[in-house]
Amino acid sequence: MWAGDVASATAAGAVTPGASLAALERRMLRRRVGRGYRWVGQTFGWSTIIYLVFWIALFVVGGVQSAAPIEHPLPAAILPVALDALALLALVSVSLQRSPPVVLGRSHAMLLGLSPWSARRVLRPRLLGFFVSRVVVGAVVGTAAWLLVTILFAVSVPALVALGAGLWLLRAALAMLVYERRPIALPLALLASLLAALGAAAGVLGFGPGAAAPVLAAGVASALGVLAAAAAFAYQGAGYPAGYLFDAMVVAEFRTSVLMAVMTQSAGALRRRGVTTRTRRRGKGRRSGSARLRLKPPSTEYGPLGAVAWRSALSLLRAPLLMKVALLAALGYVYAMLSAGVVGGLPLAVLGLAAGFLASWLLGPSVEPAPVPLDPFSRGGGRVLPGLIVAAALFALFAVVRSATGGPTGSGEAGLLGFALVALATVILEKASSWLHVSHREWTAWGLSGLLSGTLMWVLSALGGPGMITLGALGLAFGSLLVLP
Amino acid sequence: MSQSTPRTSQSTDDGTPQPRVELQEVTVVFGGEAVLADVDLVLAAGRTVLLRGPNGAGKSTLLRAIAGLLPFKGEILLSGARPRTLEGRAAFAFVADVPTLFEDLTVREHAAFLSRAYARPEAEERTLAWYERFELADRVDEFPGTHSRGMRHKAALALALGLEPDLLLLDEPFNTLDVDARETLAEGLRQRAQDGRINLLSAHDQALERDLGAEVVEVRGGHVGRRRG
Repeated sequence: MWAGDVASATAAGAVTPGASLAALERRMLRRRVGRGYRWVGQTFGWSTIIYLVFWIALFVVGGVQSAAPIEHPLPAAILPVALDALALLALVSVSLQRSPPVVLGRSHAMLLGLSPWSARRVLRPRLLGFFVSRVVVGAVVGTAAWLLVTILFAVSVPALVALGAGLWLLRAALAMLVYERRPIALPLALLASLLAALGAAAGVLGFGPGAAAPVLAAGVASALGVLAAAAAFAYQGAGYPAGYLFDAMVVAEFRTSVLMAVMTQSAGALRRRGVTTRTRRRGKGRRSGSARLRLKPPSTEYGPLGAVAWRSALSLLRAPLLMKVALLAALGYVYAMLSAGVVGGLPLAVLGLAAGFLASWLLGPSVEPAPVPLDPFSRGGGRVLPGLIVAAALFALFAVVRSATGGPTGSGEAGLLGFALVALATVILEKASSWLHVSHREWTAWGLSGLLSGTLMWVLSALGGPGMITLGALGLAFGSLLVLP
Repeated sequence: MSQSTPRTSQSTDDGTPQPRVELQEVTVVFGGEAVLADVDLVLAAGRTVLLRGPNGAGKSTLLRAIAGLLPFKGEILLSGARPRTLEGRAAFAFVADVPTLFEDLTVREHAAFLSRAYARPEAEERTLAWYERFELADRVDEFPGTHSRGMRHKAALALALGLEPDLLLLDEPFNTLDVDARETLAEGLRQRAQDGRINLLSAHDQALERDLGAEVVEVRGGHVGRRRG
């Protein structure tokens, strides 16, 4: 068959690596489909399968038609909270995943090891299948959620089908990012940030929390997703987790083979314009490892606090562009939710979790384990200061934009409240990561600080209005910085 | 080795207290087993002390305990301060056998950051001079993650030497260095001792005792043995 495929490719006048690979893929696909068809036929019998599918479809259609709202529907205010929590759960679970999202077969290794094709090209069919299957699963989950929401809340939200599909697609992209930096995941993450911006815009334009629920849920999902994506980028620098060790070795082998192919091409065995252009462009670039973004160190008068703050500012400045976009989107989301009227109760606790995630990127790096003589205020103040200045500036910007676009009064109040929430989460995260000796990017640390800050805001909301919450939260944050070690 | 350890800090002619390291009955326990047991040691100003002993004897553990990186029983005083206090931390610099560098800062930024964190502004220039002596001058704007193990070690040593702490703790500092860098480091350590500072390092090389004019302290099975030099 192999010879036949090559012969047909030759006959078509396309003896290129791409054509040969496509022929090989067709052959593998035919063989797999044939094997699967035979296995199903022998194990279950095709007539049994058709019979079962018919009855299942009949039951599903009957169930959908008979779905009716319950007598006392749940309050609509719970809906955005539930959707946000579900979206958050789906995305956070990516970080707990310990198995690779795509299992590679022996054929992939053979193709990569013996050919000059790029890893991405060889794995494309497998990746495509992976993403399509996740979209289907997400759409099914979204449909189920649509039905459930119709029954429980007596509102029909068909957008949940698209939201489910999008969320699962995003989740798959993030899983791939964690596993291996794939170019296909980048545009998806950027798309997610766009959705997050839409979520923020919905809030800015003054939608109520009930009406904007699906958009806001998409917003939080996307914002957190993009943050997780940025985290995955940073994580790759530190190496693979232990659970991925074997796959890391396989990927390293893949990369070596790809590198060999590029070397062969650049040596002139296969002259391709793309390769030579790329090589020339790289040659013109600076030596890898050089710092591209610099920030003048502060005057020595500012002492250790200035030094730590400078390092934190450098860390923010050098953060990947994707992370910066994600920060903007997530801050926008927090502002949108607060300006839409989510001031007290459980939604604020959920919002606290988002603020905790945000804090994990705003907080500067730790000096541990180096035994540097830093007092707690210099350490804590220096780590939180640059991030909070950025957050304050962005919240002020959102408030100005909202006022300029004719939003309802209280734009500044929402900004202050958002800043207080993020400040509290960042300070708590600094203390928690220092005391527990864990990285502030660890989900345990930011999760804890997020829940704690959200709960504290919730408690404060019971004592008074937004002004009281803001003052209380800022007082708690500043007091903790001053007093706690 | 056991000896009486007076607690009062001595002073120089101009009234500046002389650096002094005192360890009294220091014990470090890992998993119920004492890796260091009842160590008494006094290091006076102007001394270079070599810790010598087989692998696993407790040399690195002793250095880490002095740096306050390990929990211990007993008493450790660095110029009168405990290692985990601000004064204690300001009294020493520690370079581990696998040096700890901040991967988010370039080598030059390390000098700027640490000189300010230690509130010693003049240390930045000194560190840059040490980078030059270690032949790192053309690589200071790069991140340490792109450097070899030897280069990372040189950068960490330059940072520690540039800070000019009272006590320099070095865990096997000569292992990864090239010949020129070894000579540069030895020269730096000799100069520090002449200036009245203390160097405490672990090493296996027999020739170092003579090169550095160092005292040798034998460490075996978690006990500090005889002292010569």
